[in-house]
Amino acid sequence: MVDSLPQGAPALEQVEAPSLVPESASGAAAAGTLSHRQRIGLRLSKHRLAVASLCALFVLCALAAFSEPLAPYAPDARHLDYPYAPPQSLHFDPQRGLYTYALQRHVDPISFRKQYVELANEPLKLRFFAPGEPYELWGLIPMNRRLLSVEQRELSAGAAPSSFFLLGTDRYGRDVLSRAIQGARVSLSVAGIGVLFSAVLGLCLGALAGYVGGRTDRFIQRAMELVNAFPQLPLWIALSALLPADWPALSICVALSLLLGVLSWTGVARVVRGKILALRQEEYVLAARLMGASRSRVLFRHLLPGVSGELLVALTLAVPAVLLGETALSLLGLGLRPPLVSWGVMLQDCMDVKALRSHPWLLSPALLIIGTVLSFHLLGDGLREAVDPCGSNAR
Amino acid sequence: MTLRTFSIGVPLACVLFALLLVGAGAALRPAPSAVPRMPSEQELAAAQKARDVSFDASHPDSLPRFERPIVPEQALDAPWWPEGESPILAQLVAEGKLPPVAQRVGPEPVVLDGATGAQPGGTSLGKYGGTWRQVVTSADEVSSIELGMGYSSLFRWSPLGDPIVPHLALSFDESPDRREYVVHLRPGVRWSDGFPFGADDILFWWKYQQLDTALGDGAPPIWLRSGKGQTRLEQLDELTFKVSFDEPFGNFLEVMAANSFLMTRFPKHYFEKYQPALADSEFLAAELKAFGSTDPRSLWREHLMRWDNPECPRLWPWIPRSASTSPPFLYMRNPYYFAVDPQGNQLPYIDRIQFDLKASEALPLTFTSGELTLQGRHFSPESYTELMSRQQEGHYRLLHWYSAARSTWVINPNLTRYIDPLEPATAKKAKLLADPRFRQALSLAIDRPAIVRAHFDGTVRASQLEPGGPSPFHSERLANAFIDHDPARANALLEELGLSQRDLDGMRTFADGSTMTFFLTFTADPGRGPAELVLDDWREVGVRVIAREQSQALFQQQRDSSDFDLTVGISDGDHFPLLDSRSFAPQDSEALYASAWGRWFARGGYFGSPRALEQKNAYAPPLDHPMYAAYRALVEARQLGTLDERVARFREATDIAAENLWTINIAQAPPFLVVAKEGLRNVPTKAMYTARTPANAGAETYYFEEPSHAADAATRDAIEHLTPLPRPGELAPSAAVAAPRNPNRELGEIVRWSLLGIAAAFLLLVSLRHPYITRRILVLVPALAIVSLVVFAASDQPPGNYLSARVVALSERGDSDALAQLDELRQRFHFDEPAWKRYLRWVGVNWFTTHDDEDRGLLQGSLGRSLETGRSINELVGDRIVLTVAIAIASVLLAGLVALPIGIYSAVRRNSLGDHLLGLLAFVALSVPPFLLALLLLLRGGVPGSFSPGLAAQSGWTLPSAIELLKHVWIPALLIGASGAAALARLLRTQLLAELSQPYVTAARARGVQRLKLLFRYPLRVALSPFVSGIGALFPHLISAGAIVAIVLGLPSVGPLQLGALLNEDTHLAGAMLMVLSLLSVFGTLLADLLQLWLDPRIRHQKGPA
Repeated sequence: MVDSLPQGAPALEQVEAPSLVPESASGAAAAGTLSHRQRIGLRLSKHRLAVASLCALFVLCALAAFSEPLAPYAPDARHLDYPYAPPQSLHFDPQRGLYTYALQRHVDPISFRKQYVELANEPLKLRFFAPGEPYELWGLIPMNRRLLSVEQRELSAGAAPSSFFLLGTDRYGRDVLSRAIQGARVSLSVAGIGVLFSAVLGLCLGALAGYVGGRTDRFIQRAMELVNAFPQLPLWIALSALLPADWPALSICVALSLLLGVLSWTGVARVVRGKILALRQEEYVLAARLMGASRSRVLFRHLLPGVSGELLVALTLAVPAVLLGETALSLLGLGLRPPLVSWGVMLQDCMDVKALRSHPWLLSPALLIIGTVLSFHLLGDGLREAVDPCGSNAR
Repeated sequence: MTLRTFSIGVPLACVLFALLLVGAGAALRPAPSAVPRMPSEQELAAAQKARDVSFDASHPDSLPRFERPIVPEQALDAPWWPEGESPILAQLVAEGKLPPVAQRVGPEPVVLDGATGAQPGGTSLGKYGGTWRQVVTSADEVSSIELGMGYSSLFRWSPLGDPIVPHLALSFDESPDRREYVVHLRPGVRWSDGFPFGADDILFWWKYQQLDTALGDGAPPIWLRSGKGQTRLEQLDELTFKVSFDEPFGNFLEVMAANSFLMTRFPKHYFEKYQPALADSEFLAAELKAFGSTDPRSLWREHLMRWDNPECPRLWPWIPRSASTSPPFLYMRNPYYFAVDPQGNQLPYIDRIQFDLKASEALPLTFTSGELTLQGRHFSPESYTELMSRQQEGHYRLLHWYSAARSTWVINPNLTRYIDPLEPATAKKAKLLADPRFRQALSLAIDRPAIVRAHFDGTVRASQLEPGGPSPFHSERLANAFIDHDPARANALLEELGLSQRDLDGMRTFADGSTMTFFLTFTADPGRGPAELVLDDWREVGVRVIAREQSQALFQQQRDSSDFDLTVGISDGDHFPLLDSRSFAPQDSEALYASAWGRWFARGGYFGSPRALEQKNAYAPPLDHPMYAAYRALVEARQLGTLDERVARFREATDIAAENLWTINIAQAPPFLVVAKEGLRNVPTKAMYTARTPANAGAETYYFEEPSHAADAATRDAIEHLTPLPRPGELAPSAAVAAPRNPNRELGEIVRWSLLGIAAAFLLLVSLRHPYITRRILVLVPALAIVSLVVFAASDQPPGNYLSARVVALSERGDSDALAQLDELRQRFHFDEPAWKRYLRWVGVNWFTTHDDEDRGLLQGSLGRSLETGRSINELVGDRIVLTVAIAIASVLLAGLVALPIGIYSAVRRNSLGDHLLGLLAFVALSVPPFLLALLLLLRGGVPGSFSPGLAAQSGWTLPSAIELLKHVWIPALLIGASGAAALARLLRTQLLAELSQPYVTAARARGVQRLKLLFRYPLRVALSPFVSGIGALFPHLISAGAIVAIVLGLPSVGPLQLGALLNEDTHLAGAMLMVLSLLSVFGTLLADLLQLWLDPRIRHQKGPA
């Protein structure tokens, strides 16, 4: 659809390096012209931070999609020998490859304070793609190989069974890394569904406002102002109380994403409305109208495709708000609940100051949150410049 | 985007990601600790000895007792003859304001020899003075002064329960058929006002309170009844009374130790003035009016009988002398207390008790600060390590006492679950919960060894709830019933119940295929405990249970209506199952697993009393239910004469419990943790913690090695002058004269009103000059209407709220009292009106026609009433709004002020290194959510102590506290404003760059206008307009961020109140808070619009922005 974009669009840029043209480019590329989408891609690839963010997000999504084999342990596997184990150190030497040291748990017999000591005489090899605990990929395909697992062997007396916790464990000895990887799946899906929902809402309302105009436009604009004037989080807090607590996990996930989407559509709608207003003035639209195209054909065939770039930007920039909304709600115990694992659910443990102070590694999901949000911001910024180079001549 | 960049980028990102994880691990890893030091054998042995709380109760006489028998005939010659007293009292005696000590204490005092006195060579003689400090989390908790510290019963327990020793009574005679008991009271005992105490007072209680249908139950208390028969109480002489029963009464002494404090609460000479049958009716009417009570019953319950009524004489060692409504709550020594030490010094040694109110989050910090003198409550087993390892720095000792409650976390399946006709699932759940096989399956599914290891540090034994090893009623069979981890058997039992179908999540459904979800509710006190582990185990066998934390108040309502599935409770007094049988045969509503049966039993239903069926929520077990056998065992055991007989008879009840599993328990209670300050003497190392502790552990004999005398003057003053109970009705007409208004509060009021006035005047002025503004404000009207509609819809929707729980509870009770309360609620909240009517009411439309204060609504500035307390929300919120606004304004200012120079710099120095760095920094700041910053702040030590709960609602503002607030408000403002500042800086940069590239700038530069002058005169002013509108758009986000930061940091602002109200399901309060926040953000946006108008003449001169 996008490839068949208007011939009447603004003058095309000259391509300096034809070798950069992707193999998938259509015949137009050979003729020295590029499609709208290709030009966006080209400009984006010059924005280094955006490319880096895109790669990072790709990795993150892969992590979320293949969380089972990538995580060293099942997210809810409890290692009762290792409550609050600190992150283990990682070492490398050419002979042994990657290895870590076995932990010895030491419980003070008087205060029951738990301490862990790395046993320097007990190195444990780390193996890649070795068979480990069996699991089912996406709940369908039974597998047992995991990306990283630790060698299992008899250890000297006093040491707990061999283990490898790169980011430590929580109060029940669950591996923080594995949970963070599983959390990526849940958090990103909730954010994704929420943003998709807000995209649908925003696209419909924005297109309606921009295309119909008049009273409808004014009404939708007032509605947007109103939604924007609400403090989102308190409203989300109030709305999340509406979710029936006895719903199954999946329904809660979907309902929560819809809830988050309901308040985040205004950004999309604003962009779509503006772009449609602008495109409506274009001659090719007039031409289509004169040729007798119906209103809906003009809207769907000629106007909406032109919005795609801006829509992409708006959606990318909408993800952080939804992601952080989910995290904040789960942190307060109002969003997702165990046994679901999301980053916000993991951070719930940090609300206990005492636990947090003695076990700072519980904060590590926060790094993933920051990284993800940062990537989306940078990517959105790069995309915006790529889609609309004139509007952002600043850089 | 080319494939090549991608094919390099993705692997690179993978590697970087892996490195990031490794780096994070390394950064968050604590410094490697050396191999920890092993404690020496002696230290270990000492710790283990301290931890070992077991004792043998089968020989009561070998257990410690502090009370010493005396020979009253020795009188003046005996060492115990009362001679010594506190210097404070001695001074009052010297001034002639008190009679001498011997007269006050009486000729036959209780002689208490403190804990150290029992040790060889030890002496229990103490020093007078000092303040005993304790911490409570709510003002109501201070009521423990009556039972835990006062314990003014006829006979008392010793530190380990048995032996039971004489206290207000000297002895009793038992008739051979155990049907008559003659009690001899201690002579010479006086109430705290000097009036003699005697059998008169006991008879007054019996006749004019307990048997009075208006003031009391109209029937003997359940604990003073035997079988079906009647109980009679008669006075034989001044100090002797007789209790007689129609059927034998076996454990009279135990019952007296447990409950007779209820008989000695009513000094006749005080209460007869308020007893309708005896009182001067004019005086009573005047007092009723003065207290604002409608009838004598509520006057007694809400004012006279309260633990903090200073006018009511007491028999406690420490008594209230003024009813203070705000902390600290003080209790002074009773000059007429009838106990002495072996040398005749009047007890107690400690002059006064002080209760400080602390938020429960602040409690962990108090024990190390050395504030607490002796405290047993509020130390959860989870904080054991912390408490144990900080003894030296906190200057306290951690004592391990035996807990009479044998579980700290027991699951109560609701056998008498309320069936909601509108929710078919409740009937199915009720059927399952009532089936013993279901409870057995749940119990068998739990992996107790794992939980004991993970949650209890392996220190306790897995066990069902039973009377406990030291108790003579200990039942090994009950302890071990269904505690094995046997998922296979659990599954088989569940299949047997017809729960074989599974849903999409793989969980079992009801037999008819509908979704099955149970809720496990818990309140803050037992806490979440090992809930997560238990629920995981239940999920393994396909039973979906969801844990839900609830406020105490809400749970109270649900308990009254039995409207819950499973709940977590703390048991109480299982050590004495005949006195407190709740865990084995429900004797009152405290038996959470069958509160309806408990109420039925408590009202005599088992003996066929018609009273039992007056309430709808009190009913009997089904006819063939095994509970009848348990009740029979309980009732008959109570009638038997010797302990052995009682134990043998009661065994049937525990056996039935072992078969039926009334409750599902994880493990035995760990030792009860008590923090005792260093230098506090006479505290026993071993004691049993019951509701009567520390009184049973010799609280009167505790003393400070080095008592502080700082408060002596205040104490003496309080003892000398009684502050009467405030009578609100009396004060109302002349409030200004009687109680001068708090000038600080007035200051706050003035500030508030003058601010409002200035704002209004400003708006008026501006709108007169600019009609556009008038229009802008008029647009606000429909906007606010919609906001209020949305808020109302959001807060009105939840199917369950506090009010509906209360309505169900009251209509389930169904007696006349409950119906009256229901009517009152209906009048106050109009809950059966349609939603639109309630909305109009909430907004305050009705007020325009009625001008009734009750009908005030949002338009009149009233936020409504809290569902829970019925109090006005305006009062509850108090100054939280000020703090919220202060934080919001501070964060806006901060964001704007930080963004301005950064934005200008990066636009002017475009593409410089600084620009790039600042740009990246802005992205990072945008990406770190404020709640993470708040968590990091917590990690670094939290907010400096400026935001104490004292700063919250109703405290009133003083100048220093306002300054203090301003000094610290920038910390949360910084957390909240950081990402806003980043967004604004980026916005300003873009706008300014666009402006700088305009031809007029080039022209001006070419004509030699100075760079800075040019920048500030033209481009910046143009760019500032979108900047300000950006601030407006940001305002709602700052309010959001402010709410969550306040929640994480525990600041007393509006956000946490909203969350707390939701937890309480107080939807009115939550809705009102949402309304406040929405209003704030709408007005913030409006303000930014006005500011933009002032800055940008283009808008002013047009008809306004498009």
